[in-house]
Amino acid sequence: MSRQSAVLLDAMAYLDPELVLSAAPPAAAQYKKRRPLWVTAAAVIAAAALLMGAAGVLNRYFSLGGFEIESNEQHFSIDLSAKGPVAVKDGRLYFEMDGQRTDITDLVDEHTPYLYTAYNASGQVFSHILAGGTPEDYGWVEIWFDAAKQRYVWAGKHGEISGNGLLGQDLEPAAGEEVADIMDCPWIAPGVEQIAASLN
Amino acid sequence: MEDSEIIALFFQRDQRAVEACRSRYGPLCASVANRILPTPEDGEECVNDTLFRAWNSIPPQHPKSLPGFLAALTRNLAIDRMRANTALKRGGGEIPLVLEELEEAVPAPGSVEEAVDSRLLAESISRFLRSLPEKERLLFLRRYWYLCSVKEAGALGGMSEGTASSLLRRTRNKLKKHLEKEGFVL
Repeated sequence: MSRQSAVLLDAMAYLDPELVLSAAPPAAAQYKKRRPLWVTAAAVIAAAALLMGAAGVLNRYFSLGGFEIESNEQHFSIDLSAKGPVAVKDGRLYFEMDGQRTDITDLVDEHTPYLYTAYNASGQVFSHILAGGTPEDYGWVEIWFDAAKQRYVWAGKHGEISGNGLLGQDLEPAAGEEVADIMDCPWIAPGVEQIAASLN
Repeated sequence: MEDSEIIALFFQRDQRAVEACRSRYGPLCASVANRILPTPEDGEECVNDTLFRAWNSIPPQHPKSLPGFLAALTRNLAIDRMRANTALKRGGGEIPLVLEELEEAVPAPGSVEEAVDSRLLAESISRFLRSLPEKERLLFLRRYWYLCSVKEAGALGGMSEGTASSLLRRTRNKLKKHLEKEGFVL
């Protein structure tokens, strides 16, 4: 590779922001990627703040859906005030991500979720978002793998209900039932099953 | 808080500007960083670096588009971080592949060697991109701005990896001709 191609790559930082933002990838690829089979283990649902053991640097980051997370090996907390990627407009339910809006009204119901899977440039999954319900009664849940802590994390909102917790090292299909009960959203269970299947 | 209010806070050297940026555009920056960098922790550090850089840049800069400015800062910092990884033999993600592909878009050398102005070059590329059909433009930007893999960039546009690869090749050739026509020498 040459210096010239690097000049091109760097110059693109100055492209018209309107053009750039219009192309923000939704990362909602519906294709599945083969993943190694995860070792089965018991799922653990935990409360918002957890004592985890040894001390560590406090990490602060945003999840894809906008939740703000603080964690180290002693502490784990999520700010659940994020507006989230689901919104209703003119009686239709929309999934909004990275500047793109998808009408999911006819794709979801009380038992059927919409699954959004985000990949990084290396092709690794870094987050899943499930949305479901109806325009009158909808919600969303994000599930991601906290690489530093070697566990799955979930957080979600459904009307006045907000919740989050840990799902352990492995994502078991049955974990979706527990999250669905907590959030009072039946569509979460088949969504988690779908995610778990995609990991196999 | 509106973008103009956030920028005003920057100019007043009020640190609430940083938190407002984090709250409003943290997810966007994280999305950009996480596509380029290998782990969420790298992405998180990159977003923090972005906000620090924004604090040091505004003023004197006064971005027309705050999200565009922050996204570009994030991209630059993430690419720098991946280049450092490459130098340390830890792998450079999509960057080496993207650079190899962009070779095809480099204009032929002219008779006059001169330092290229990145902003003028970017303006020219922006003009070129506006002339493309939407599908082609989105594919190009997702591959070369957001550094999506060819497979993901194609899938997002409803194309197979092979189709996306072919279309990207044609677009690179068109870009090369466009840059030559506009007199750029890299």
